[in-house]
Amino acid sequence: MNCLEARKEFPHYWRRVMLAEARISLVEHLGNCPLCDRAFRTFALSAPVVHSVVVADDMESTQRTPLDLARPRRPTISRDQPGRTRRIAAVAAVLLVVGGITAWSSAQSPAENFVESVVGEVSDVDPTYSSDPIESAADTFAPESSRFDSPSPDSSELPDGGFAANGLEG
Amino acid sequence: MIRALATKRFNRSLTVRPDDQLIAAVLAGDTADFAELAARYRDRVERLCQRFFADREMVRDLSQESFIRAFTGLPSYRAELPFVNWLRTIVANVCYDELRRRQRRPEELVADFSAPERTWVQLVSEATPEEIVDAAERRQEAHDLAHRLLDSLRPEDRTVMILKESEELSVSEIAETMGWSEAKVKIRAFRARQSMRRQAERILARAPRRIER
Repeated sequence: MNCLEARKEFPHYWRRVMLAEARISLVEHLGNCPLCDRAFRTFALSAPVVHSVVVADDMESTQRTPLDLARPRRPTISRDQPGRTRRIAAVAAVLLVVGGITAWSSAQSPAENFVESVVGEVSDVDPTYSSDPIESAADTFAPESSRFDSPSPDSSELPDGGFAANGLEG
Repeated sequence: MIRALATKRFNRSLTVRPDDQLIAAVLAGDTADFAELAARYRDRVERLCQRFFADREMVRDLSQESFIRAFTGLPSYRAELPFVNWLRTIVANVCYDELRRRQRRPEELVADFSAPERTWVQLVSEATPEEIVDAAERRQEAHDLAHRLLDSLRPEDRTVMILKESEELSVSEIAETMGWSEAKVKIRAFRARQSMRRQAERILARAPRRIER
């Protein structure tokens, strides 16, 4: 048996549909030919599904559900769906490009445009926000007493022990 | 009346009615006869679905879907082709559509084997051919791994591989079944074989070196 003949016989060997002599001859060839031996081993990894006569995971007839022709059908994709997806992606890309060009070519500077599109109108921004970094830093690192115009009094210093201020009077 | 009906059913059960007769009866409005047709081919349909998918529920669903399509498409059936071939076309297309629907990236698939799968790979790389064939029949992990390998193929390649190797269809029969050109079938068959071999080699390369007997 040569290599070509041997490899053609793999499926028959796997399904045990070979004559005894041919079987012995194949096994002998596999023992003497490392390439065919390797090929048989790679074949053996897929053969349990591809070349088996009966799939091991065969279903018991008792587990079968009766055929129900009125059952709703499985959702399936049409063969042209990838084409449709590509068309949708192309339209989305065109819209993005047009939107981008419109935004960048308007009267305001691109940076302003970008800021506006992200944070809205400038007037929407928190009025306490200072764009001056030095002012911000000074405010942050100022002593605590100067940061509060009218610090809240300690409740223990109040005449009623702070109950009125906390809504617990009486 | 009841006795006549019972006699009719009994006589039916004794004789094996040919497919064409059952199909004619279904088309004439006796839809109950389709159940007999389905029972006749159910094993075959499920076996083909099982080559595509390991999951039992999925196999049941696809088998059911195939019969529903066959039932609704029965008026388009032409008797020149054996019913079983026409049904196989439906099953192959149902499975192919499902493969396309759940397509995953191939590189994710052949990785991270379970312990039994690793044992199986080691056995394949070390045991004698006879031991491998014997063990494959008893081991679920052999089937799981084979399904994993098939999962690494593109839906077209996998469909061609199953129809060619498992169903033993010719290139022209596959082309007719799937509605593809013969050239496409040949290319897909070549790529499927090449890809399977490459993936299997990768798996075997991970196994410990073969012990010389």
